[in-house]
Amino acid sequence: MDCTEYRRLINELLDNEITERDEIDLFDHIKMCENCKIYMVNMNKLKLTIKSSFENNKKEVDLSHSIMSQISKSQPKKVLHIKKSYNILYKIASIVVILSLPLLFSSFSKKETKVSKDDTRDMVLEHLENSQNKNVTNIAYVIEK
Amino acid sequence: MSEIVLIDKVLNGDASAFEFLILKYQKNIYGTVFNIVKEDELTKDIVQESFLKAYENLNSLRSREQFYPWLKKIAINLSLIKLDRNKRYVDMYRDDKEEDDFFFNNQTDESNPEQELLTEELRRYVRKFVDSLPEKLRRVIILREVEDLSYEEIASILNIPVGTVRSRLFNARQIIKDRLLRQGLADGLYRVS
Ligand SMILES: [Zn+2]
Repeated sequence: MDCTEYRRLINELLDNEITERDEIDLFDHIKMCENCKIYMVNMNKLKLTIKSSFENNKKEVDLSHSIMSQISKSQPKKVLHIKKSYNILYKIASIVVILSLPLLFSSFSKKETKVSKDDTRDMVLEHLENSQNKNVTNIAYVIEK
Repeated sequence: MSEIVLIDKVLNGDASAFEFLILKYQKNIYGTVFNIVKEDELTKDIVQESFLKAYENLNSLRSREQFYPWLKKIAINLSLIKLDRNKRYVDMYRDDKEEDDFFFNNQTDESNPEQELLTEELRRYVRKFVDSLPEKLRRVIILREVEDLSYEEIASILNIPVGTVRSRLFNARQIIKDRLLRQGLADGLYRVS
């Protein structure tokens, strides 16, 4: 390994993200390499400087009134209970759906066999058109985000 | 009153208990958000939205001792989303670009401990240099150095591989170091002993 690789490890060491094995390797190298030792000291200072440069950004703000007034509008208790009862409803609904799946499936496959070739082609075309539209809206959504 | 008790109260319908949590953490959350979005009004909006979101989703908080880290992550996520929406920054930075290591060519041989004190001027420059980093690098540096997130946490928030986090940090630090040297500010600080 050359010094550049060891400097990557020094970054990991200072970030507390180094593996035990790399750490042993690194310290073996630092014992012999004055430049990497200096790099480590410098990087440590740089990290501390960055941290202290951004720490004084905390401003005396009090947004509690504004937040609490919005919270009182949203009525927490009901939200929580509604969520719980929704959960139960969802569970019941999904059980019903799961139980009825085999029935649905068998009725679909029966219907499908009755469909003529032309109808199938139309259905495929229609489906393609729909799915293309879906893609288009998806893309638009992503761009907007 | 302990935080866990407060959270329980809120979950049991006592919304007023949430105010203590706001009072306790709003300053820190403001700092976190401001470091990412850099605008006062936008920061205030995001801080409010973060608390509201935390309130509405409080029942999904798995461990009650983790309220602050959880809230902070909500705030960071919202900040990143808003930032992307507000500023369609042109980021020319590419991860495969390697930085040269020219730092050690500029070392002098004497050390002076007094000069190693972090001056206000130095802080101002470092902040300026961090803020003028390519956006992709700036985010990683802020999340790591200021918010103390792990590589893993940064990777998941920014939706990038851990290896990319590692190399962006490395490159970002190289760039800041280089700019400090060019500014003549590194002399006192980064001296060969
Ligand atoms: Zn070396």
